[in-house]
Order: sequence, then C-alpha cells, then structure tokens
Amino acid sequence: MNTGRQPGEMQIDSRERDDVLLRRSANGDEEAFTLLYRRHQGPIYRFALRMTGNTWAAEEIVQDVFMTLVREPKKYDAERGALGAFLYGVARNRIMKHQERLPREIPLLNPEEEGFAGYPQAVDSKTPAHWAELRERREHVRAAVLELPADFREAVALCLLEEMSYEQAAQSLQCPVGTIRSRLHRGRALLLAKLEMLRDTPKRAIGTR
Amino acid sequence: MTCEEFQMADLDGGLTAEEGPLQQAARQHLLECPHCAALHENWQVLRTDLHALAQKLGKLKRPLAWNCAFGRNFASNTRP
Repeated sequence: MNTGRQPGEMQIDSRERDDVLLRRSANGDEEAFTLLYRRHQGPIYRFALRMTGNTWAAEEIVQDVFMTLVREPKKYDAERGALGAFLYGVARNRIMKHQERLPREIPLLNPEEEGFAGYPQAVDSKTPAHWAELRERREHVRAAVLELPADFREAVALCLLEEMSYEQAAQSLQCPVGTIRSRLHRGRALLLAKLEMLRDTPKRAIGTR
Repeated sequence: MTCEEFQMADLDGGLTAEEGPLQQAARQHLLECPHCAALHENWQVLRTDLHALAQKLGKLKRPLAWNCAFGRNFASNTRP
C-alpha cells in the first residue's frame, strides 16, 4: 500500500507535545520516543560534557538519562514542569554520581571532536601565532570552567555556554532565579581569578562603594 | 551605584542594554571606579571566549553509533 511517506519518515507530528510523546513512548511507541530523544539529547549531552569534561562519561550519562525515561516514565510529572527540566535533573544526579566515582578529567583538546577545527588558519591579517594564542587561551577558559565547584559550573554551563535565560536555568536546576544570578556572579569571579585576569586589577578603595 | 550593584548589572548585560537610568548609573560608576573598570574589561574578554566556546560546542550531539545502540535497547525495555 502506498502511504505517501518516504521510508523512515516520521508519522507523528514533530511539534507534538513532550507529555503526549512520553505517554505514547511508555506504551511502546518507538517513534514517539525517537522524537523525544532527538529533541532533548543534544542539550543534555552538552551539559554532561561541560560538567564532566569527558565525552565518554557524557555519552553514558545521556544513555542513563534516557533509559530512566524508558524504564520509569511515570517519574516525570508534567504538572511539576517541562520534560527538559526533568531530564536536566536526572542528568545532574548521574553527573554527581559520576564525579563521586572519578576525579574530574580535563582531557587534552581534540580539535575535531570539540569543534576547534574551525579556527581560521592565517586566512586574514592575523598571524598563526595569534590563532595559537587564542586557541590556548580558550582551552584555559574551558579548563577553568571544569575546575569550578559544581554549583557554579552548572550555572555557567547553562547560562553562559548553553545560553539559557536565568529563568530557564532556574527551572532546570530547580532553584530560585536569584540563586542562579548569585552563582553566576561568584562563578565569574572564580573564573577571572583562575585565569589570572584579576592580577592587574587595581585594588578597590577601602570601604566598598 | 555600589560596586556590587555595578557588577551584577554588568553580569546581566546591563551596560549593553538600551539606555536607561541603570545604564547611566553604571557608566558613571565605570568612570569613577578603576577596580570595576578593569573587571568590566576582563569580563568582556572572558565573555567573548565563553561565547566562542558556546558557538563551537553549540551543535554538538551524542555520536550516532550510540544512538543506534540506544534504539535497540528501547524494544527490550518497554512493555506495551
């Protein structure tokens, strides 16, 4: 029978709501689950990668997060918030467990994997030394983010790297917006200190304004 | 405006937002406080680096091979 669809083409509307997809998935609908997975796996993977600094760990964490969704879909309650926020919550637990087991790793940069291959190489007026310096500095930034305490690293990863709003990050981390701002503020100060960007800062006058 | 208020406004992108009383106060503070002026300058550099990292990693997803293995696990873990 000709259904008018291409092989492999999805039959579910790609704009279908998460809770509807999850209900279908819980009843064994693999296509519904695939849509949910495609929709949410990228941000969860990047969050796990930024928190652990380890691609293998990030892959395992994504696996665990979505297997939790397959095995225990009733753990998610749509009335308590968006599915994305729930998945971030599950990912946070897995990340914490991972970090209890293993010290944080700061792998050597893999240009292809980490997306650094795209730096222009002497195609403009900048010298190769300029690009090498830029690349080195950004690698230091990446390493400094990985060295932040977990609370601050989460806020930095979501707001400054994933570029979420404070409100979205607060929902994902299940804390008030003020907590996100405060963690970002302190995270920024720690990053600047780690990168020795405070070294040349003039001392504040006695008696803060 | 205090240093603390300035730094929070700077973190929120307050200096680049549309001109208003907050931006005027922040600009005035910037002129008067060399400590915050230096912090602001360094924060701009760091923010550019973070933005570049975000752009470079922005499209990163879990490798395809894992996704295929995951699909196989689905069938064995759901009970219609």
